[in-house]
Amino acid sequence: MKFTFKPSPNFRQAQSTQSIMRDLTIGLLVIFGFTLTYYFTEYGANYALRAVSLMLTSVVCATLTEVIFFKCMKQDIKLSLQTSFPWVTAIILTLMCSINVTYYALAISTIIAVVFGKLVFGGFGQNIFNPAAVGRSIIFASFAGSVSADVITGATPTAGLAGSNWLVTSSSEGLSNLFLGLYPGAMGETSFLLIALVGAFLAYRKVIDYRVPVTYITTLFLLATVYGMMNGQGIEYGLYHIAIGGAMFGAVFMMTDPVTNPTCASGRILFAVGCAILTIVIRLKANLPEGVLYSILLMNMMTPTIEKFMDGKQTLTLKKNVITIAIVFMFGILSVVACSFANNAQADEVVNNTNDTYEVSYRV
Amino acid sequence: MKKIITLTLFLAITSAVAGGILAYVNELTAPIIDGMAIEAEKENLELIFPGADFEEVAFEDETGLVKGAYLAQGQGYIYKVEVVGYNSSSPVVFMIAYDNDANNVGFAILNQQETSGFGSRIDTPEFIDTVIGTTVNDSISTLSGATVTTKAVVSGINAAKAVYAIHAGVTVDVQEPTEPEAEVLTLSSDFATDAQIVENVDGVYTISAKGYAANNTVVVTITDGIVASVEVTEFNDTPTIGDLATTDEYLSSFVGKDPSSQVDVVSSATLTSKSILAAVQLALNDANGVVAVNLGNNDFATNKAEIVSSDAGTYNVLSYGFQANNEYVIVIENGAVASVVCSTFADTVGMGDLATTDEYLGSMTGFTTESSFDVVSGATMTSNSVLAAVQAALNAEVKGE
Amino acid sequence: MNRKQNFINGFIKENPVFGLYLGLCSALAISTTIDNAIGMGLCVTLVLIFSNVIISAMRKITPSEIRIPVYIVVIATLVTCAEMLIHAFMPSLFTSLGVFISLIVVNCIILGRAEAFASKNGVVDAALDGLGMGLGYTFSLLLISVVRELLATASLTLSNPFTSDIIFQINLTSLEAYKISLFSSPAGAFLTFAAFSAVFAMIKNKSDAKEKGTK
Repeated sequence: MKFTFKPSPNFRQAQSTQSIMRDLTIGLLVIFGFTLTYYFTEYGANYALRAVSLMLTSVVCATLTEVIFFKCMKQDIKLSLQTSFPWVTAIILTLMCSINVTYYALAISTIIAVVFGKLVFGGFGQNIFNPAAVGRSIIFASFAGSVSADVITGATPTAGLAGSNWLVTSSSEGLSNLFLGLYPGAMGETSFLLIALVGAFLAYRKVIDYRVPVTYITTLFLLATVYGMMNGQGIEYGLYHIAIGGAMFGAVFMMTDPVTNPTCASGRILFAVGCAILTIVIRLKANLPEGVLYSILLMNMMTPTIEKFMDGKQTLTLKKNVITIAIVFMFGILSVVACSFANNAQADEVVNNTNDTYEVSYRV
Repeated sequence: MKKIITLTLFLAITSAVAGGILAYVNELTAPIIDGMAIEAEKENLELIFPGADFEEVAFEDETGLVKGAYLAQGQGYIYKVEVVGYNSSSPVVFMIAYDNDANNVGFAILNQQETSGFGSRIDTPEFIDTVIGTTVNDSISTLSGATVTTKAVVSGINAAKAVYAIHAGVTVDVQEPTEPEAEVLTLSSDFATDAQIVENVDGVYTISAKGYAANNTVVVTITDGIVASVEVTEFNDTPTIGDLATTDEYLSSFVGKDPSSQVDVVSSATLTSKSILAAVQLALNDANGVVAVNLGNNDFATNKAEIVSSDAGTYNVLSYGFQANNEYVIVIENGAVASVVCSTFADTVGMGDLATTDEYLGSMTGFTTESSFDVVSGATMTSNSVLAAVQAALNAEVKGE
Repeated sequence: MNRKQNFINGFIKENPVFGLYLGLCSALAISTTIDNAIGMGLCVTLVLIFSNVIISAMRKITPSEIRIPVYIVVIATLVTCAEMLIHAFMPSLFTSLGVFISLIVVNCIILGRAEAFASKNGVVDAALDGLGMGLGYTFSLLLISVVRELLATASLTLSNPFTSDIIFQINLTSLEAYKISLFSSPAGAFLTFAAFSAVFAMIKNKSDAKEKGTK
């Protein structure tokens, strides 16, 4: 892979932060449009309306929070809002939630995400953690139980897989459905195909760095395939993993956030590889459906370290960087192999216990 | 040099004063604290030795299962044990007490959240009676159907026994829990599961039998009254567990068996095995013209069995058969049939009397209302009259008791 | 005047938790309910007063080379006595505070105040300072725990530590659907602490600016 960098300090990019954010927002809204269409045709106008109002709630809360903050800080509100882009966080956060999240939960987590995820660090461009990811994890930590009872969509594929010990069974969703996104899951994360298209477009427009999603998806696919082959599931297991759980969405919209990932190219690749390893290990061993989310947060934490390690005279450090990435990748493969052994040992234990329980459950 | 001595001395004096104050406060509060520990447990301790003087004693326990040891003055030792049974989120907590002669004088379950009807049977006289009254050296058998729970409880009891051994200064022969007697199963045994014939084509029976979670479809071929082959065509139980009972090895073991043959159940796939066994049994019985009737749940209404006279376990019963009342003399001993004799036979000679042969009547010896019988084909009505009479006698005996 | 100023300092300007950032681990771990907060706060206050008094009384004779070990012996004895007394007379408090009572020994407030104030001032001053700091600590713990208990359980309960009787209880059952369970975990504690620290820093800055005559 040939790394190109821009060494000249006077070289100006054709686009500004404004236009980057604008393109990003348009991409997100395209995905949201697909979500609305899906919910409208599958479940009726009520659901589509709910999706729209959830989105509005989040955007309004985020903007209001920032307005209040800027007022307290005695800054010019309009100018600050234009450079702070609260709605991007709000849109990404809403797209990460499922349709049966309550309005209250979404509002509270948006406020906490904007305040503690972005503003206290110094505002846009200074935050360590991706604010939308922070918001989503708050929903997990506090509101996992509070879902709207009258909105029923069924179990998500990740939850289903988590239930069957991460082995694809006949009751799992079909691959074509997954790639097209025709299943109820998080609102924006379902359609691999659409997100890939939007991502490709954004990469073409140089809004996002193409290296991150490509590396992430490839690494995730390879690691998942290794696990799959160790458990007799084959290559389609790898495809399964990249299609579910918001992997593509996280890769295109959250891992590429230039504020929270390293600045140098090899740093970004290392970032993506790290995310992939963490995603797969969290999914397999910790058995949480939200592997992507936590991997993003954890790697955000590692970004300053990566920067320090890999930054500098990049032409001179190229070899060192490549070796580092290769080592980390090997480590990832080893972790997946270890996971596989551990999971199988656990499964055997379950079977042994279940043999006893078989005896127990029959009254002789 | 002098400096160091001064410093050391100062520190030593300070520490000594501090130690003195601590000792004083400890003396003040220690009895209160100990008293609280007993107070908390007192309610539970009184379950076993009401009104006794309790004292908490120190103990050593390698297994970590024994959580508390108390001495009831002059009466014995009580141990509070906590084990993890079937329900891994809620331990089973119980108290077990041994008196000074190494006899078990108390056993009380304080808390258990085991599966109701299975593991929860440890809190019933069924299990408790096997513990109370035993000595320290006796082994305790597990409850069949509640193996995991009882094994855990017995290991807790063994841990308590070990601690008791140290407290009382005796040696204890700690026994592993014994398995209950395995029952001998034949193809005439009651498998307590539903099986129904879906289709019968020339001795090839397609039977649906309930296994562990759902019905399995078993195809049994009967030739000349014995099993020719068994096949499971639809398996709806747990894969990798239940299908241990659908291996070729197990299914081919049925070939050549008849109703009196002994059969095995595949351990750890008990319910699926029994579904197959029930299917084979049903096929065999049907092929042999034998209809299994359970004395307990058949009401024999048409036979209008009527007890004419009874005298200390001997019943004279009139029961309507094919065309008239037959009279039987039935002797019941200990709730089971001792003998059945047909005193007056009024049905068809040559047909109905197939059901009054000594052989058939003799086969009812030892049966209770739980037993299931075969009805003699071709003499169904008479057989039913016999069975009705037996049922009436048994029921009367039970009521009389 | 000086004594009064010292005493009030402990509450706002030099609040040990929000101003001096001392004794944080027990503050964040204990402040889940107001019972715990008040219990812990009073414990720390009493230990602080007594340790300040004793150390101040001994300050003339304590050789300065071994003063830290001496302070530790004094504080450790006091805390162990306190623990035994609490275990005997307030068992419910003992169970809820658990290991954190023993951890008062390493609570930086106590050693910090002993070193910074008690070893240099008279007994009465030291006692007042201990009282002020301890009450400030209790005050800050109360603030955090009120917020956390309200947000996480939508109710407030205060009970008598000696008898476990409930003195008062506010149950906002209508708001129970809006509970945010994050606040019963340490993560929520950090968020609350951060918010309060910001507020206190703001107050401190304002009053400092006022004192200096600028606006």
